[in-house]
Amino acid sequence: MKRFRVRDHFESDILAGATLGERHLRLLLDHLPPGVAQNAILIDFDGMVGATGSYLKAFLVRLLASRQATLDPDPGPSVEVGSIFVTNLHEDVATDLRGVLVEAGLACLEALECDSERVRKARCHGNLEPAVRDALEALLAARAATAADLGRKGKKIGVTAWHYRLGVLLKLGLARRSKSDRSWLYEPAAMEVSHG
Amino acid sequence: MTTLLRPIDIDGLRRAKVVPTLTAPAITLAGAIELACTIASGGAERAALAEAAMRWFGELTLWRAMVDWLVDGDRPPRPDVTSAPVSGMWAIESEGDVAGTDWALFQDRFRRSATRHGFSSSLGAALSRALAEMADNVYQHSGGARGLAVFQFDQKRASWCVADVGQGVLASLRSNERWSHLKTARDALVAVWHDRATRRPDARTGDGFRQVELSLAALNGHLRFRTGDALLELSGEDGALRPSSRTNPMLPGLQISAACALGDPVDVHLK
Repeated sequence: MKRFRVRDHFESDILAGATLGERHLRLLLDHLPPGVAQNAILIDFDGMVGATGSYLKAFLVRLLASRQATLDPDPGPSVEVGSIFVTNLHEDVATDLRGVLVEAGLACLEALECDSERVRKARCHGNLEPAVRDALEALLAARAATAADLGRKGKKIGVTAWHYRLGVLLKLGLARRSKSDRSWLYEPAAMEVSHG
Repeated sequence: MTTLLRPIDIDGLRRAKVVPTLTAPAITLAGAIELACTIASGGAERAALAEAAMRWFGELTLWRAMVDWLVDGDRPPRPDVTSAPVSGMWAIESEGDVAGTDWALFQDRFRRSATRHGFSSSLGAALSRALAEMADNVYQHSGGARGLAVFQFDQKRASWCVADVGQGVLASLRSNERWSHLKTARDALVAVWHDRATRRPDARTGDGFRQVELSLAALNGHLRFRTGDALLELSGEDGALRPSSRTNPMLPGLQISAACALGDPVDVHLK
């Protein structure tokens, strides 16, 4: 996992303004090594006690949105990464983050416990539709599953619906996937997820 | 009795054909920033006003710093008092001016000054966020023109302003297709405040003024937000800001003044 410490790039403990957010997004993209597509990024807000909506939109929401839509027609930066996590969120920053995520229809995992390889415990920020939240719970329980696997377990939901729901989890950065034979095998981005 | 020049008096000076005779007037911070912008944007037409203003306020360090920057492009020197100064000015022209280390240090000074003058640390942080968002708006909307942020504290009273004499909010918003239908500066002000309009094509809504609103509403705050020939004023009462808008004598760019107090609000004189 690649860690980006916001503190290394700004002296104050309050993050305000779209211009600063845009600068941090550029710095983060410069910070990523080539071929990072399968790696996770950990954005570390350690020491930050406040962040405004303008800053979070210009930095984090933009990053999450461009990861979600790598074919984004907007000319701005886009990035392909496995997962984007935030960590060390002050409660005020978390509150502001939830606000902008809900408005943008996005979600983000806050890493609570992790090692160099993976996030073990995370808190999910942003509103998930009940069906998507159920899908995340099912995937967390299964650890790894294809849509067909989940379709066999829960008879009420068809394989097509599972494909859709797992696709939403992938887009939101809550799951990752790899090819397994001719199917996509999905895994949760974190091993355990609570809802913020 | 000393004449105190508030922004409404500076409106009058812009309208007036002849500069009035005033003996040792005082001026509020908001008045000073609008007067400095009036002089900076006026060129030869405002020469008489510039001369009078320098006679009236030339001894005030903060006034001179504003004019030196807006008119001549001379950045203010680094402050002598770096811990918690009563006042401060910050020049805005490039990205680094609203995203760099020195800018962060300026905000820290503002916050320390707030707590030194009776505001709690959390209120100081909220006001600092508001100042930072306002300054960012100057950079984002000015179209490259010089801008500034300035503050002054008195016991339990804070006053801060940001300003530029650039393209103004209407031209800035109209660069975004979504807001290209806007016709007047007043429409643009209302769009920014009410509809959270932003010039940024990748952002659906702007957030800068929500931050200001949150900070001021609960503090008997007052916000004066003017651009072009439009003025929007907001007064904090009972936890909400009550807006009123009207036309105003033309002044290019964007000027935003905010003031708040713990207790009854009173004008803070420029010192």
